Amino acid sequence: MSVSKRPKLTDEDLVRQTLSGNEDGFAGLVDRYRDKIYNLAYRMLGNREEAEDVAQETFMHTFRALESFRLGERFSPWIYKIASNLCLDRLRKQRQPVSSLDEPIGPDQDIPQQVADWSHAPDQLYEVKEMRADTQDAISTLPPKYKVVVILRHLQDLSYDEIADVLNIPQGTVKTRLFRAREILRRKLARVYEGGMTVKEGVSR
Amino acid sequence: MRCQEVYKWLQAYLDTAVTAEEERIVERHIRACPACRQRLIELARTVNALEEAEDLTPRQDFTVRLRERLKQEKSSENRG
Repeated sequence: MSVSKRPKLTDEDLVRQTLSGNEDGFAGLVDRYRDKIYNLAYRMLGNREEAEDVAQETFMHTFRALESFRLGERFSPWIYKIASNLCLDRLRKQRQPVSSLDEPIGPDQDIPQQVADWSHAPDQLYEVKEMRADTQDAISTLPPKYKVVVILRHLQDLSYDEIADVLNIPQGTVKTRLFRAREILRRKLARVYEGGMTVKEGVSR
Repeated sequence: MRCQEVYKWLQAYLDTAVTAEEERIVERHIRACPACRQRLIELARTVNALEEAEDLTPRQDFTVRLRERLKQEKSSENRG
């Protein structure tokens, strides 16, 4: 006879515990999702303070809304939806000019006007760190609705289906936005890697 | 087949979201077309860079602060 390990609690178990008044349940959910939500918010907002704020808000909202969570459905898209909406709200409030970016991508019409300020970045960084900074910088210049799709796909590893669920948009729209976003990033990063210049300089061309 | 027509499959190819037939079309095309081959390499590198992005962690007191806020909210609910 084999000795079986105690099975790991599922998200749903933790939700049930929380709803029945057991505080360990919610602590378990926070433990499980804290870093994921924080990274999602950081990639969306590009700022650690704001990411902390949004991650806290996400869990507060989650706690308040938990009774409306339909048991049997997957928890992760549900909490990502709360976090994504909070991030998109913030970005909307920053009133960035993004409307023209709905147009199809034509030659050189793919570059948003808003460019992250990284004048404060230290001059001397290791190559890998620079690459990471370039990646984050390139992400930060994407229009919010493209940015969120790229982040959910490649940093949170969600499928087209799950992203459609989180954002409440058709799967076809997910693909269109993802493909456009990657095309924008490809062009930016290709300039960075090959030209040995920064994203900012690339954009000003 | 024209590059433009192949492009959407090239993108889906990265996510392994193509049918076997589309995969064959993409692979045949990129063997013959250096521009699309280069594009695919750059797209793959872009995806790689995204997926290798460093994971960050929130401040150490994140959970403590959250617990405090939840406690406050609950106690104000009880008072109300």
